[in-house]
Amino acid sequence: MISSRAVSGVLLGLGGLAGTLLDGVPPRPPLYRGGLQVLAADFHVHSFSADGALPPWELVLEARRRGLDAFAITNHAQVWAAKLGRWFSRRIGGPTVLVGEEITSWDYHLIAVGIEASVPWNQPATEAIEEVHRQGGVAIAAHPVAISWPAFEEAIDTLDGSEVLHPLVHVSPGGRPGLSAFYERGRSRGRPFAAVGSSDYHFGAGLGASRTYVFVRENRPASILESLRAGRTVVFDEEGVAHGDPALAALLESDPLPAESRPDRATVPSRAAGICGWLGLAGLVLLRSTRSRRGVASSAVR
Amino acid sequence: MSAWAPELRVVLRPVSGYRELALEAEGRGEWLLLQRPLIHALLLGGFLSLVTTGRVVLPLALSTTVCWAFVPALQVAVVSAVTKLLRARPFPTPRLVDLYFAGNLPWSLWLLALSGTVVFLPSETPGLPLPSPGSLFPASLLAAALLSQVLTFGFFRGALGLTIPRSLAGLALHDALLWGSIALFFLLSDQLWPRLFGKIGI
Repeated sequence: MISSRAVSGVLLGLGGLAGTLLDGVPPRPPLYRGGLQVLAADFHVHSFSADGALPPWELVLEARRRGLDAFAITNHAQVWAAKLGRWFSRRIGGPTVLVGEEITSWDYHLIAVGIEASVPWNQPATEAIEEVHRQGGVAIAAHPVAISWPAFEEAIDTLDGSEVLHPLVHVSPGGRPGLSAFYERGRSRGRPFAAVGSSDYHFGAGLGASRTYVFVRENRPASILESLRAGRTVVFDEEGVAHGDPALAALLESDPLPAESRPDRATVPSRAAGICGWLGLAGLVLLRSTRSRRGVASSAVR
Repeated sequence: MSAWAPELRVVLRPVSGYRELALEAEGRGEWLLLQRPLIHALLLGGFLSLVTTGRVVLPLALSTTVCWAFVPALQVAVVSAVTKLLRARPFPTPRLVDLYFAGNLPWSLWLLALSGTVVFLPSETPGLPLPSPGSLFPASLLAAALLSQVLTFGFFRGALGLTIPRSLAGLALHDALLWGSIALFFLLSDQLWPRLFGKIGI
């Protein structure tokens, strides 16, 4: 007699095999507008070992699936996982990984991109930004809703940009107006101020769902950081409204980029593979093994 | 003989279900020690692959299984420590671990339900990790946590045959060690500390 667990294992194996075979990513040719390469990037991503679910190397592969050209791993209070992701990405030919950190203080969260050492959180935002700049990095206000504005009051003049699109806009009524108002304040200071769209990825399907289009000379960390400092970014918000450098936004509006690469889960083979794998997992958990049934039977006989 | 796993019986009648389960002969040895923790680790890996890609992608599932295996490993360490501290070891360690993991079903169901929403409702909500989690996500998490408490109590009371006060002590010790270890990791790695104590400057 075939055990129900064995059937579950076979289903899981088949689902896994099909899921793996369907996991190919089509090549993405580089895109250019106005003489610059346009990169799809996500600068706020968490990995395993902090409060993210995927290890850094899996983030690199998931970024490929999601059509990202570059992303920053920005764990709280550590940079070693980001360095591991960068190493892995270089081994397999991209996407470009930038080493970063989400500096998490009591009253502000700050994304540091392009750093090499963790920045202490127990200091005012201005000093944290200074340290990020000293390391050659870029400082971006993370999800700056109204509650964090006082902490950025002085720091706004030294920030390089702020998140204008973040998952908060989908779940919090104060999200969209807060992020937009802060970005407009930063932009009104008369110096470059990058608009950034980030997924604040921890787990699930959202990596790169909120993304930043960065106009760079080449897809290398130094060039990406230079473009962020110069504010050469465009973000399309959830209603398709462009934020960022007006000239670059106009370029993308007149000559739009191809549709964002998003794995199509709705195809029949993909859904069948997913359902097969899920049923296998469910069977392993919910069905009894034949061995334990025999055990119960023999115990009943005794 | 039912084809359903004994975990379901334990969920429906935690104390008496565990009492019956403890009387059944389930064998001994390494396989018994590893079987349920391994299934739980595999479930974590499969869950992460499903919610990330909508499919079980083998390298992703195996990679996350290995990374997240620390969770069942920590659970094994905690239940061994608690039963030692309570001097309540009526079974060899493999049997003890196997029985304890029979009470993991609320978390397993929660993981299956969440990954099921991704598999059966594959349309993505832009920017959110899962399709329209809304208030269901925290509510279901809370329900799983509460049911898990009841089942862990049932393990101490029904499977180990402890008195009610000692079972409650076991549950408290179990929670303190399990959740305390995780909280300690986040505290010591500065991920939680600033949010909790940053305001008062320590």
